[in-house]
Amino acid sequence: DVFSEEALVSWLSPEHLLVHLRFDQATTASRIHTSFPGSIQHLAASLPLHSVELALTSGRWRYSEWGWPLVPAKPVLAAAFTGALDEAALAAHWSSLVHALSGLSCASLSLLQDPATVWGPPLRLQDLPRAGASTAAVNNSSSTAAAAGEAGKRLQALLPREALCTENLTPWLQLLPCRDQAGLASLLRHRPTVFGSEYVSLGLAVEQGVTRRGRPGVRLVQTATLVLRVPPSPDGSAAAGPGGVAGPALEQALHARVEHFCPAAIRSQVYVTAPGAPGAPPSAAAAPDVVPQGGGTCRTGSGDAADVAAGARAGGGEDCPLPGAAGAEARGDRAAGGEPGAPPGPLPHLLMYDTLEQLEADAGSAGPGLDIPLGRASPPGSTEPQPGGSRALQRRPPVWTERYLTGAGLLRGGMVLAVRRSGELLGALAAAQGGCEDAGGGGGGGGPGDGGGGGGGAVCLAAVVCVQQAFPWYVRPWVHTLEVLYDGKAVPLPSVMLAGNVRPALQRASPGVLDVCLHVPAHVAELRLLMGFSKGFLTAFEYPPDAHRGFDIPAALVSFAWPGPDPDRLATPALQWRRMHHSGDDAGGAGPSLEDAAASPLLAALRGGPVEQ
Amino acid sequence: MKPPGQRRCRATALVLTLALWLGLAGARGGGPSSHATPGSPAAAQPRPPSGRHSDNWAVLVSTSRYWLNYRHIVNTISIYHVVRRLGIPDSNILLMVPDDLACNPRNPFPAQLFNNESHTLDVYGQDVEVDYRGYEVTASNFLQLLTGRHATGVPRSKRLLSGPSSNVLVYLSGHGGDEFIKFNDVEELLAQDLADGLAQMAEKRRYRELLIIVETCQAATLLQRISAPNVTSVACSQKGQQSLSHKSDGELGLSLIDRFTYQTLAFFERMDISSTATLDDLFRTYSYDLMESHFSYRMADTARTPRDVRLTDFFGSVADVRTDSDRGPQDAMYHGDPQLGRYTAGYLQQDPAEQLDEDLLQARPADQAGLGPQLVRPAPPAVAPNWHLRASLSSGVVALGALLVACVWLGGAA
Repeated sequence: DVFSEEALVSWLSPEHLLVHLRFDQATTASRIHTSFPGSIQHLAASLPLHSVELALTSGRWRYSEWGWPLVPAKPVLAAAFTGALDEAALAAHWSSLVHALSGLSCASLSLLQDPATVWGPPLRLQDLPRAGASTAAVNNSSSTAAAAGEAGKRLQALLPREALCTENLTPWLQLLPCRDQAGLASLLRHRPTVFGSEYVSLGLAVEQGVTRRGRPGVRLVQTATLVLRVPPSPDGSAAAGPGGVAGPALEQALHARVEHFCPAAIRSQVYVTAPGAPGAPPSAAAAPDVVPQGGGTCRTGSGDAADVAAGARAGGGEDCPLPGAAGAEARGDRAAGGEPGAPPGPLPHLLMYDTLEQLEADAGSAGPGLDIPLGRASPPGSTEPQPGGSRALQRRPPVWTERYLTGAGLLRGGMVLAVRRSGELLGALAAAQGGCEDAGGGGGGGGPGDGGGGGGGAVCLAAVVCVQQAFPWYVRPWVHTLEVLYDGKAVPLPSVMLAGNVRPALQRASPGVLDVCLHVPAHVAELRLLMGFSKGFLTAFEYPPDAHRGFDIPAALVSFAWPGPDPDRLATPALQWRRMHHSGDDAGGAGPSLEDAAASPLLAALRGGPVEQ
Repeated sequence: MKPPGQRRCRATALVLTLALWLGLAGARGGGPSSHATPGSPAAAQPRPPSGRHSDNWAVLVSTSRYWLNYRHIVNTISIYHVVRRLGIPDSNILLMVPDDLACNPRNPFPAQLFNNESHTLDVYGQDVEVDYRGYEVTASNFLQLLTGRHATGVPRSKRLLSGPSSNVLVYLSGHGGDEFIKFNDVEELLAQDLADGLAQMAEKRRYRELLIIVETCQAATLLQRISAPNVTSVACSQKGQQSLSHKSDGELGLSLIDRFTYQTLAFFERMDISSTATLDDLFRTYSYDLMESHFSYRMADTARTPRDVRLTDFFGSVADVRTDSDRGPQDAMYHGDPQLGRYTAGYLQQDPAEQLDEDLLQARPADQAGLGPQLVRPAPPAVAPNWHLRASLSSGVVALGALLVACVWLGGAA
């Protein structure tokens, strides 16, 4: 059994602090667990699950102010089953999974058991090229079938509205070896702060894996994401850290104390984005004194393949400067894991604190446990955005989506989904277009180019936008009214549709799904989908008790890939997080090569909010 | 001449068979399959509980949603607070709360619920576990919970796993009237439903003693049809009487709690698990001056009085702890076991933490594998008919039928 905990703290705006906690557990033992929760092991063992993911979110991510979310929003429950299962078995497994998870999460998930909320294998951007390459005659239905066949059966469901409160956190914490009594999870101990924050999201993911020796293992990932509003302190006194770091301490912001470290954890780290301009070396902003580190604490990023091969924990020749050390407990136990300097600029610098060592050092004294100063981000006006699109965490979203209803009355209406690309994305797309063409020409021979003859020209993946929208059965979209507008000009759908999966709803049985992947040329700044719908007839008892507040339509999911062959430009936040994890881990692991990581598509989800009808 | 031992043996066997047959007959009469109508002498015959109960269970239900019904949810959470404080573990508490008020956007105190305007006692607490919530709080779920007739797959945490020696506390709070209580404004639980449910519980031997408390308008009418044995029922108001709310809170803008539960909570806050207070002591704190309604109680076993019932029998916790050699692998490992070697071997086979960390924790999800600048082939036009077909399916058979008729007509004309 292994347990690791990490936290990322970053300012999203001068007043909003993002705290992202991530707890990883894994085991290969089947019976005796020292820390891994037996209920999860039982769940993984009794169902033919490949992976399952549950996300409960409340609050709204403010895309315009906070930039792109670090952790993309997810459907409430998504599961992938392994093996070939027929419909009945799948339904039974789904039902037992939902029941098990509702017991594990205190959420009213049993509504998800109702087949009217579940829909089948979603079309995913990631699967497109794979499916295209694997099938000779690229066909709509066969491509989705191939994608589904590769990953077993995938199902997902969305609750349009679900409360999130202490009762969900309680069982969530019980899955952790130290609950909230020790370790980083005790940052969540002050519930009013946690649930008073503007955005809360709890995630739970279970995944089956195989170790290198071929033993089956189970992995449990729990994430908690909070966006706190931390008003600026009236006096600047608390702000004056020794290193000139301004801002409250992490514990102060969360009104919680980390008093002990969790003995089960093999890793317990806190990453703080360095104050100051992204791109400036962290030492310049934070630490006046540069202390050479002991070999154990300073780690380099996994960016360079050479470092990976070396497997050296000690920095590969890189100096690890101390961040601004607050107070007397400034030992040599803090390391600044400055992100790999190979492409300087694209990533904000992260300061890394090793909680285990810090708490161990403090174990004797009853003094403050974890003292991590948070430099407040300087006001956005003062740092001019760097040329070349250096993407800090706080940045404009590359895609802006909006969904609204048209029409009046209770019976008919229309729905519009607008996706706007930012100028930055457009620029990148235009820049990538050349490279994409080249790659297309070069790679076409071995890749999907020779797969099917006679089709149109191949399309760069970056120019694909996938839109997925599910409708409850009582909202009946009229698919023939679906119009696609590029920059206000209507285009015929069949000519731009790369893959599609449109499933009409069955009355009281399954939701309707509109799942299309469109080729959107690089110059198109705005994509708009229009569709009309009418409302089905509901009997009196099918109305929710609060019928006056309308019906919730699940959020649309818009996915796209960040373009470009240039790895330097490609630090999307999701990618960044992943990469940061690797840099935190010892460098011996199979870190992703930059090229790999760079081309990873970013799944961007939009929570359009409940739509009133 | 047979040896005497053998004869004695046969006699014993005969007696055993007789006893078995009698026992079976008795079980058939009282088993869950028989459907005794409540009020029939068989069901109403009080069997005085003997011995001491072995565990405690609590079913706490609020039946109202929306912010304006804050007080009903606080009523239920208050009783939850009491039983948690007196030691009933969360696994033995079934809490049904239909709305999330603690994290409601209108609540200026997130994740807190208060019982009065001083805002000192947060009854919500740090680690509440709600078992049924939102639209799951329905009359049928409540009755299924009582009678134990769940769909397969309902997790243990959502079941009332009480037995013939369990003491069960049932608390209901919500809007009600003459012989009914509303659930979520869409359905009602009738007095007869409740009485039947409790009778079925008695038949299935799901409790030893049961205390049911109802805080609703005209609460006594909801309880008047109960005929199950060993049930003590407490109602906060009589027919024609309202169950009134406590003072209004200026900051939250509504009443925080109802008067009856407020009195109850105040009494229990002064009490701890070692208390010997009886039901009678609790009843004496209820007064018409404070509640403006007359409370009432009924005890199915008329031989007993409230003075005989200790409050901790229902609100406190008794746990039955048995030590057993093979309860679980961990226990067995610690307490010496012939199979220790096997367990130890299994334990030693575990992968070292570092390797697990590398192999599992740092593994990248498969779907995030690199794609590179890849090419996607657009779907050939052959897709379109397929898609149109599906679209037309969705728009109904009418269109298809019309098309068919048109074709036939055209064919005929040609």
